[in-house]
Amino acid sequence: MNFHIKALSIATTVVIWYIVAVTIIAENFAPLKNALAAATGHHWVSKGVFALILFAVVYGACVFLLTDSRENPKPVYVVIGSAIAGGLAIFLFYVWHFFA
Amino acid sequence: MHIFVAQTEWACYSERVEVLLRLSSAIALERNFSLSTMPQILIGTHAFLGEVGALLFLWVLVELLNPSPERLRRARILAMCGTLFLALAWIVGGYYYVEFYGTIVKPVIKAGPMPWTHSIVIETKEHVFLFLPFLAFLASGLITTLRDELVTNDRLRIAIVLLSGLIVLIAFAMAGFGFMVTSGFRSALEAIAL
Repeated sequence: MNFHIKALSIATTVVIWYIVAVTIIAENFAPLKNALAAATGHHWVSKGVFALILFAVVYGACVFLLTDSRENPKPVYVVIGSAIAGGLAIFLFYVWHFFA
Repeated sequence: MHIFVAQTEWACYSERVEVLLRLSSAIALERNFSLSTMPQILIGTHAFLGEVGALLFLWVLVELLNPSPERLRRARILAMCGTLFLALAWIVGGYYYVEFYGTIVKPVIKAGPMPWTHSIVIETKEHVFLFLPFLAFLASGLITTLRDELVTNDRLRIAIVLLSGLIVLIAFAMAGFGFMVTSGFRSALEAIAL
């Protein structure tokens, strides 16, 4: 099975930042958290389901719009950097939220 | 002065223990909850799947260090299995989190002596964990697509090695976070018992 490498990397990066953004915004903006909870019954389940949908949509769009490259590792490094920065952002946000 | 502070602290502590006792008995009655049944099986399965997934990606990393067509064939299978294990860990852990954690464990931890294990640790764990299935799918997709090309394509091979290492680190960090949450729950139960 062959995947579009660049599209796969971009979709993963977008999903990581979506998770970071929706986590922080929903914690500070109750209507969003309530809407997420209403969508599937639990805000965390909705975040996961929407992440899957977003991944599929972004991957599909990138396959359609972008030319793949098997030489350039940069999109993979962007994913790695995003996962580290995004994970730290979520952790530091909850540390701040606990002490605030 | 010291006696007054000690008395105030004791009053706060007694109040918290009282809250914990009320919570634990109410929960036990309401849900017919037993610590040795369903939630424990789900936590154990979640941890097992997550840790095996992490070990499979560690194996992928090792196979990619000095690749040959045979090692890359193994890496493809291992990465697919690792992705499956992490996806299953997501589903099992998610079911436990939604069905049991929020109603039974969370209120006890929050009333106990280590409330930060919920407010910081589990909140971080539940969201950072969502990265894992996507990172695993990316690694698996790259190895499956590039196949034997990875013997000569060092730039992408090193990127996949680092990605696999990150998956291992995040997955074991999740296991460590799980330990901290369990400690928070245990300390709350000890406050009830002692």
